[in-house]
Amino acid sequence: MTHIVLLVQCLGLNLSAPLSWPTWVLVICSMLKRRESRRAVDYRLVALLQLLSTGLLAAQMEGLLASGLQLITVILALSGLLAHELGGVVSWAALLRRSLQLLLAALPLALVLFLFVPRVAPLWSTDLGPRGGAVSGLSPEMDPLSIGQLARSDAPAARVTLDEEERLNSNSYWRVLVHEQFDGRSWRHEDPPFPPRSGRGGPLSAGPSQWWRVEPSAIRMVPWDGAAQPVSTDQWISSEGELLMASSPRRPRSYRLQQGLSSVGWQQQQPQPRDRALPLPPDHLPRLQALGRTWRDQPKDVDRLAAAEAWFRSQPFRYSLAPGAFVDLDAFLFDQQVGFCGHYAGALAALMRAADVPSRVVSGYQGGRLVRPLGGSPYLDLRQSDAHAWVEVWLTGQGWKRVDPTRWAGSGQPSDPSIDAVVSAQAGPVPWWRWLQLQWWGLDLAWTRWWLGFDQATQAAWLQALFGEQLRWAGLVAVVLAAIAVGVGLMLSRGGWPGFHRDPLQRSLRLLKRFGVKAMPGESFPALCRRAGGLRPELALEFQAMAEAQQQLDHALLGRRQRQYQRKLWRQSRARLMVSASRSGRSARS
Amino acid sequence: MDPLVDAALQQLMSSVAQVLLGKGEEVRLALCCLLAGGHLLIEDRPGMGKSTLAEALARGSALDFKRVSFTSDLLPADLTGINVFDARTAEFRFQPGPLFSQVLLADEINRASARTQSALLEAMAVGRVSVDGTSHLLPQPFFVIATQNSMDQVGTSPLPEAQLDRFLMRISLGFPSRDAERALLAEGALDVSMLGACIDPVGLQEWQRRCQQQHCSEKLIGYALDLVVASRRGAHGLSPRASQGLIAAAKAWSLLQGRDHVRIDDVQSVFPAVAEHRLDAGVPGGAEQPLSQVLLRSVDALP
Amino acid sequence: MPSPEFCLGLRTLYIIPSRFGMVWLATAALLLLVAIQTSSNSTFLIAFLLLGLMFLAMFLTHDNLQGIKLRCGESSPGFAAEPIHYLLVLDSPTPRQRLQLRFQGQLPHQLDHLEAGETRVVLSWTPGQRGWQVPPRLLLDCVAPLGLFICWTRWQPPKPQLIWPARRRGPVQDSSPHRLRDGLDEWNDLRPLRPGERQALVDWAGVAKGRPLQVKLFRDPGDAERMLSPSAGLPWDEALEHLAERIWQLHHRGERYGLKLRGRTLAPASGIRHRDACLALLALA
Repeated sequence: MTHIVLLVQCLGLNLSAPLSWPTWVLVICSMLKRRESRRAVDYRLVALLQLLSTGLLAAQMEGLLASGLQLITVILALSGLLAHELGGVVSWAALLRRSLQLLLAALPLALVLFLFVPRVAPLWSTDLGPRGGAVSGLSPEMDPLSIGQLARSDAPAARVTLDEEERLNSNSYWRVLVHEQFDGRSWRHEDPPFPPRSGRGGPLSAGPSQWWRVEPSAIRMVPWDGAAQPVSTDQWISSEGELLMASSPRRPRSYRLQQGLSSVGWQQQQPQPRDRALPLPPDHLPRLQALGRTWRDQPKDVDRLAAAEAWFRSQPFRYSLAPGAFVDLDAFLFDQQVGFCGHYAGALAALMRAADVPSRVVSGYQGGRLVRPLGGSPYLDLRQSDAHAWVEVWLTGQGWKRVDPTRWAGSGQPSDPSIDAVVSAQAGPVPWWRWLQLQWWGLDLAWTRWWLGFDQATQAAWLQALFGEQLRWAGLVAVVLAAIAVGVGLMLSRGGWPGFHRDPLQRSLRLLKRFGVKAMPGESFPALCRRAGGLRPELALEFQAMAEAQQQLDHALLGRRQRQYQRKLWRQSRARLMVSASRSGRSARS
Repeated sequence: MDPLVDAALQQLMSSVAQVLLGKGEEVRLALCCLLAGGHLLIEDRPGMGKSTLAEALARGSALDFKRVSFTSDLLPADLTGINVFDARTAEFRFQPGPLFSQVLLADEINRASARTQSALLEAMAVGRVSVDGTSHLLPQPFFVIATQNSMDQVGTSPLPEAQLDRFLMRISLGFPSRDAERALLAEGALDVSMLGACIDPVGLQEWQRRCQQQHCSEKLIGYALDLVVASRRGAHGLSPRASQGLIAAAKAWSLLQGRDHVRIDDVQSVFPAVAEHRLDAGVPGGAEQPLSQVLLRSVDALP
Repeated sequence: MPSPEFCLGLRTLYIIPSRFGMVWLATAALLLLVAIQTSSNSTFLIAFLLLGLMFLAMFLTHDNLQGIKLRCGESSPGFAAEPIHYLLVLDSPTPRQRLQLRFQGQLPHQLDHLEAGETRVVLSWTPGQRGWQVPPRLLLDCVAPLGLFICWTRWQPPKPQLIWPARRRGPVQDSSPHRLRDGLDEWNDLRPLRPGERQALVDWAGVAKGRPLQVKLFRDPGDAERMLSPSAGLPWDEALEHLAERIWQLHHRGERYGLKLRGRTLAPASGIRHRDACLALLALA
């Protein structure tokens, strides 16, 4: 049973991650061990192996579903451990109850440790994430066609939720990749170098947060709004304004960003020589180069941009996801004049470089759909079909500025913001399975927000908020809380052990004890009730009714309905006896 | 009163109780023994109404009744019957003995020799008699009520432990209470010969079958096992046959109570009768209090 | 005479992590390392849960034994060199989980569940010598509920048990007069039928063969009465061992026997009490 749950989780593992293989090996080892287990030691070892593999699985899969399955595995492994100690005589329900009880008892201490034990950064840098695996999404090479293919794919890309709901805007641009190298045909992206560890992580601020959950992709860059700051040391911002994440991109990732008080530096980063370079022979793309050069007459770069916009608007450009094949950008700009965001962005950036304005292509997501799930807070659902490309130009005095040439295209569709989001625009009423998925994602995001959001930085902030300057007291408080947690745990595990009875007999016996009637050695329950009836003749019939119902429940062969009926009878007579017991207790006191 | 207990069974119980005034409990135990398909041993002085009880039970259920006084010179053949040589046909002819009845009262069983006793007990166990290599089936139902007087030890061979085990129950009628005896003297009890049949043998067998189908819960089996295991710590533990008998008797008792399932109270009610003669090895009154009571007190009845 | 009670408490109980507990701890450490390397909250929580369970188990295991009272029961005597039973009484105010009892050097006895109240436990041990003997030291331990800690106590039961000499087949001095008497069990003789005698006694098989009507006569086998005493010329203990074996056999055959030993005489009789008296005499001679 436990193994089935474990195997199901293992199937979700990405085999290219270094941790996945030990996990598989552990699960299979414990299955084999379970098969040949005879002694108590073996069974305990199996349970421990199960717990260990659950821990490893938890390190690799963090979503709500995975966490739920992991919780189930822990409970089952614990019941396996307990079952052997109890000699296999207890029913499944009782066993589950008991392991839940034990888990609850251990939870307070575990939570105190979880909250108070200081988190440390990884001791050495290992990439335990997967290296391969099927992904879809943006690629570092922006061939104009690739975005077109993405725009037809309805696969999920990312989900984001904000502290402040009103800032969730389906018009926002979420940047991912910066393509600064142009070879005449496609725009390429160059991986920025890993910064030193000390360079990671921004200053802490108390600004509002964004929580992201991103599907597996081929690249380390993850979407962001270009303004917030990463919280974990796992993430940093490159000089081009890309947000990078150290952990492997081949699995779902979650992260938190915080709105910084200071602005982020990438927008003011001086353009490199390569941002101006248009390394093309003069005979290549001759018409584009010629058009760009005509704008060099304008002294100011703002005017050159305005000229470009005016030119675009003056031409009969049309938007289409299936524009057909082009020979090159010249053909697109001057002959066919039909294309989508990739073409427009690539052409504009090349034109601006020809006009001696530093520019680059940025790809990311734009649009998305605001979802208000029944559970959890509203979030923005980004699909691969929301993929978009735009241009950034360097304007003196303003820094890098976003320009979206797709908006200029096609007078027939003026300023449709999510012009690329064809699929989501076409989608009419949501099918039921999609609706369920959206609801589930809402829960999953809420889980991400509350559970995965507790990281080193949050812990530090939390302790800071709690203790302020008296941070050295935190240790003492933690010790005291741990002691309390152990006390609570012991109370839970002990108090419930013999005392918690659903058994009518034990509960009736407790009630009789309140009347001062205790069983004599070898006395059966009806005999005990008769004796009690002798002591309190006015209640004799009630005692007899309770005994009769209890005996029926214990000994008779009853159907489900009959059992419920007898249980009701028993409850009623017990309740009546309880009333007279408390009444007589009161009168005895007064 | 109880829909389950047939009026006939109730009537049988009450009319036998009218014959034996003030012995309601013992009559109920004897009837319970009959329903459970076991045999009954009555330990008593003479004149307490042992044979009256046997005859009343037989008459009440329209069974064929015979009485054999066990004396020291009684031979097994006197009991089982013999093959008599018929000179006319020049063949042996089987002449059945008193064992071939439905209710057999074996009076003063401890006066007979060990061989005669074992012939009876074997017939009780297997329901069949074997004479000169031919076996003859006993009639059904077959119910033996044996009596013995343990006070009178001279010239007797007391039943050995292994043979005692074959009796499902041992009861003692004892002296009637003062009220019962007053009624006996004033009005007289119902004469046993006046007793009419309340139930026919087929009906009785039907009740015996129903008795086996009474429901026993896990807890109840557990309690019975606890009792049996506890008894095995002493000198004479209860045998598996005894534990089977205990459950069978408890089932019959619960049927007489008008229930369809057995309760711990039923086990406790029949336990002294079922267990005492196996625990004290046939010597009643050896301990200051009955061993079965000590056992009942030592086992937790609130599982 | 009630024997002194031994109460399990803080002073008499010892507790250390079991080997499994150590492996458990190592697993928790490994998970912590993985959690740090991957900054995974769930793994952190599982690792801390393992630690929490371990800490809790220390108290629970100790609790499982604390408060039990041990007492010696009335043990019946037994033979030397054979496994015999020693009765212990465990008195517990609350139900307990699985625990294990054993005498040092003997096989353990496992109690899967201890009910509240008094529980009698029969432990077996093999005494070496006859006479009043005390069993070896008692070891009571438990690992419940999770097997992470082992908690144990040691106790020397103070109450001695009567040990009979070991049983060994061999010669004993035995005087056994035989006598016969009339009885019913064995067919012995035939005599002519007198009028009025019962038909069951007639030898019908003989009649069929053409002999006259004859009556069978029966006799009981003779009741032997023996007087046992140690065989001369043997070491004293060996002679006692032979006697023990002979008494046991005679008792099982249901025969009557007496014992004469160093001037003490037990008159011929049968039954368990008589047997025990004879064996006790041997044990203490």
